[in-house]
Amino acid sequence: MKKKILVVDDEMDIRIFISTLLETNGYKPIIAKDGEEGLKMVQENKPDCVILDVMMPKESGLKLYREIKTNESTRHIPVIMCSAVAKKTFFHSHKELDRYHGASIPEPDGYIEKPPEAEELLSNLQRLVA
Amino acid sequence: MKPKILLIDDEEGIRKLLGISLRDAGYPLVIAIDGEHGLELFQEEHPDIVVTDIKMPGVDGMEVLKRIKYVSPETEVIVITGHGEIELAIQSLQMDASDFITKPIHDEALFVALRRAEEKLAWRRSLRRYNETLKTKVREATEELRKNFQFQEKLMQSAIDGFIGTDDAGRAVLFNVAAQRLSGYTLEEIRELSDPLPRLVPEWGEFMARTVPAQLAAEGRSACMVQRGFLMAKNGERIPIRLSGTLLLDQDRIIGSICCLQDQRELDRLQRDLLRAERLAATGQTVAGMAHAIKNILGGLKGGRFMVNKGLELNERRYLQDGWQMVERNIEKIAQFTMDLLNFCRDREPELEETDPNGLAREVFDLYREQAAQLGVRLRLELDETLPPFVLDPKGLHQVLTNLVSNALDACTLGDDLPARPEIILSSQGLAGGRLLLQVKDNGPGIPEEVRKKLFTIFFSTKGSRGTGLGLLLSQKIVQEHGGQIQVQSVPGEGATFQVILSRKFATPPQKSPDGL
Repeated sequence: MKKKILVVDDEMDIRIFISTLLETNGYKPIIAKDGEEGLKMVQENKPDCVILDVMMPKESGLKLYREIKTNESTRHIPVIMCSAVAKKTFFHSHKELDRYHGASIPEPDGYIEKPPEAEELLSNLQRLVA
Repeated sequence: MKPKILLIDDEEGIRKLLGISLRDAGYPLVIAIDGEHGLELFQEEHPDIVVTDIKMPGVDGMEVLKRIKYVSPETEVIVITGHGEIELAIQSLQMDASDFITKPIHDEALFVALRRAEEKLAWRRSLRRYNETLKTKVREATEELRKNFQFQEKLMQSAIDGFIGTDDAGRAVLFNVAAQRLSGYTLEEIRELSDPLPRLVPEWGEFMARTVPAQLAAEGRSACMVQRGFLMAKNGERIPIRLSGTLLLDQDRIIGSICCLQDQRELDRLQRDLLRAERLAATGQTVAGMAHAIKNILGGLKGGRFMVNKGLELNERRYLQDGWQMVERNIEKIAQFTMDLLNFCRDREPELEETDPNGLAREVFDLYREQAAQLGVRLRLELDETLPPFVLDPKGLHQVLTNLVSNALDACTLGDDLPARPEIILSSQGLAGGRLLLQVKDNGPGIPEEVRKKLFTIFFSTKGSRGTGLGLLLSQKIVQEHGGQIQVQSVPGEGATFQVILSRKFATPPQKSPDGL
């Protein structure tokens, strides 16, 4: 059976690109335009992996990430974060946020700098979705 | 303690008698048998009081008195005279004897004389102590003064700022090291100049010639001056300085002046450096913002390229179509971004022409009417039909209104807390003083305070990758080029109102009435 991959991004171009990339590589993409929609789809569809944009206009991808990782039924789902911020900066601020929230939330399973490169995204997926 | 007494008498009976009385009274006592012996003992024993007989063989009492008073004026000498020797007694008093007693000696008279001598001694001692204290005090005060003076002198001399002090005739009396270094003149050279201050600091001459007489006349006293100026150095250089100076007055009389010179070159240099650093930081921010915007567009282009490649590879028309659309959209985006950037950076003069502001508003309204309808937003136009034509840059203002309406559409259709019946009102209105108000009002979610503060910041956007963060900034620039202002009012939850206010300057001059009145 094809693995279900949820793509959450406010940018239409990125959604189309990533879902085509997934489709042509044997995955089944499902898409959400923002964090709220994303959360609903995570709960209803139980995807095998989430590709999540950090910077979205409504609420940031970080919030959805926290929700996925603090919920017993979804915390096992691997998440690949996607942002224009440099990787180092992102992981630094993740730690800072952790301290701020007072709860330890695991680091994302994968991180991709925008604009996303097809190869990098696929290799991350192969690693995370057996 | 009782004073020590030296008793000198050649008569043994008197020596014994007086010796007993004095010892009984508790005085330490040494006894000499004649004048010569007395003087010897005086040298050895240093008595405080000498009681001596006048008439003695050899060195007599007068001689003893004279010599003792010569070497030790403080020693009290009481002379013993025979009955009827009043002449000698007076003579001895003239020679500074403290008292005399006459033979036959009564103890009472003796002790009265001794008490007086003791009092004199005590008085003299305290006077001496007092004198000594006074001397010490004067020495200490002098030392203190000297130190103070030295300190002040050092302070003046080693101060970083230059000091020039002049006396009542305008001659230099103070010219510290810094002033010498700054001006290139030595102390000797400056002393030879007849009127050094106005020569070195032309502003001082101005101050003396204009300000001082005026101040003296107005307030009866002269204040000081603090201003920027130039120091005319010896080598002809004009050194920028900050100078502060004042006249020194004693009552109403001018007794001199003092002027402090601060070298401004270092400060000027620091300020220039700071400005440059700030500019660099601003440039850095701008570049980072641009890189971010370009990265986003690049992402879209790369995605498009991938799609087109896949479409070709798999011969899938759907991929080809989507991909090519992506490429086109992003080409459009980059074109718009570049235009915005150019518009923002270009220092163009507004192309002014007589324009009907209502016509401008109508154009923008027509441009968005259909898009608004599609998005379910009610777009309304409320025009003040009495408006006269204004002289303004129609292209620029068109861009401003387009921008504001497009923002309002986004506000009503993207994000949270969207209104049930979204509505945008584009209006024009004449204001007092011949000013023009163009307004775009929406009933969207409004603008939180922290966002409002950053609205006109370069590359600030709340629209994720949709915004470039240039629109409002560009609008503001255009409005400011018109000498106008752009304002935002917003109550979160109740929408936002953007107002463009153009001043009277751009209103057309009123037509002259035909009858020439």
